[in-house]
Amino acid sequence: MAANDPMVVGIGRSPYSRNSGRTTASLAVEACRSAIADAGMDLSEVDGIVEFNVGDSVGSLNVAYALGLPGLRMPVDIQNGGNVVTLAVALACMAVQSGKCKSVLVYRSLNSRSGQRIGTYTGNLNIGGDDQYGAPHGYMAPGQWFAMYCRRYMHEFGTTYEDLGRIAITTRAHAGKNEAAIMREPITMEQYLASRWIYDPFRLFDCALEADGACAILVTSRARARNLQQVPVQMLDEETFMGRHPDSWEDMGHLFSARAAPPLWERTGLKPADMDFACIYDCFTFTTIGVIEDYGFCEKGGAGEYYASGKATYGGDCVINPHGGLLSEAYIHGMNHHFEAVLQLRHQAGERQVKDAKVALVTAGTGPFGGGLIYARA
Amino acid sequence: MTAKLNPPQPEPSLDSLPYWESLKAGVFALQRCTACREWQFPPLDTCRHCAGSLSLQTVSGRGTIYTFIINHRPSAPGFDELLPYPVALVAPEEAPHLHIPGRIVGAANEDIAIGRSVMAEVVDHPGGEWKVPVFRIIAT
Repeated sequence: MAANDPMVVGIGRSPYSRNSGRTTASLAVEACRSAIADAGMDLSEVDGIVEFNVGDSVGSLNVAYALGLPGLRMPVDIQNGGNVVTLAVALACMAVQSGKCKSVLVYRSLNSRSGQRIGTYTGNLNIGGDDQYGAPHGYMAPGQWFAMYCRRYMHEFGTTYEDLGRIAITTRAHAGKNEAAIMREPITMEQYLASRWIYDPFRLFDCALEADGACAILVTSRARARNLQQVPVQMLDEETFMGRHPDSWEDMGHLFSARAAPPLWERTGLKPADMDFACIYDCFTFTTIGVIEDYGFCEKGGAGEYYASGKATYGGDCVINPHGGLLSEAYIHGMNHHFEAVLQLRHQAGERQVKDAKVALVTAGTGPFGGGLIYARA
Repeated sequence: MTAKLNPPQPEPSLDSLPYWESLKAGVFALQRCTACREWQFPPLDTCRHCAGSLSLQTVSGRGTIYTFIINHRPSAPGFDELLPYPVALVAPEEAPHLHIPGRIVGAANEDIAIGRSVMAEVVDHPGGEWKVPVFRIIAT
């Protein structure tokens, strides 16, 4: 235990919706102000911001300006998607730990439903870069890349459509107890199997719920956290592994998590059985399957049974995505997983509270790129 | 959106231009290192294994389906009439660790499966001067 251990002391968010009618700047500022107020900290103590975007959001300096700060000692804008969420949090924590910054905000703000939406177009396209090889075949959306992984995974480990459905159904059931979730109506296996195909093997209910909104967390040192108003949540450790374009990954039966999980467990001395709950980045149902199997919550090919036997929900082994995840709460690109993890570890999650929650795994990303971190109630 | 749209056109870089020019000439070729003999895709300036120089080498076009999807939702312009259409990642026989994306043509979607043998065909790409490789299932 050290005075400079990194602690999450505040969480904030805007409403999640399908059409915010607001700018990403407006959403980000609301989430950041809310996180600062939640912590009970003075705005002037914030000297760093880390955010990530895919060319669809407001930058850290504009948010700092709008918040009323004269500037920042560490503005970090990562050009990447949901695969860097835990890395973004880790950078904020490293800045606090090293003394580079006193307090750092991490946010993600996007209008992923009403604004820049994945896989949409209005006219002819010329495509360079990594997608020049797939785009001429009508193959350029993340859902398509990871459907490729899913098919291969089904071939290698016997994962079935019903297994995918179990993730969608359980995650939706969790969202039913979350007033912030956009989709709260329960779904049945029949409804899942009847939902329309998007990219076979993915149906509609396999895909993240694109949404508008922003979410932020505030990180500071253990020493500073002592005099703030919330129970602090410590970020114990983080491990990311990133490969290049999904098509280039040689073994689609093992995701980034096959490389990112072992070092995290080894360094922390923790194991899946120690996790009271987990917020698994679930851009697709399949992502949850591949990631929890790689992290060792069950055997390869065992996630369907893990869900079917109730191990992934209340009363089981580890509640996975108590908030409803990206599938049913909202696609806030994985930042909302950190909000939920901190809320649960502070024992403020209301009727969906995981009893006595002390330690949790939060992951980011899928396919060849992503990471995971562990939070603990201090 | 009433005007018929073309599929996306590739916008080659200096590193990938020779690959696309080769296709335009009707030849499916992949980069191979002149020093360590490793195959590479996508094209790069130098070998990622040994930093050696690369040359395009014609491949047989034979490969196997590593994985595939059936697209039911339009995600790029120019494909509405083809829905639902299959796209595969093909492992070329010369370099099975590589994954080449391409449409599967001439097969019912139900007949597409991982592990099936395919042969590349270089076909005109609507809307421009480029050609692309597509894959046809063949008997093993």
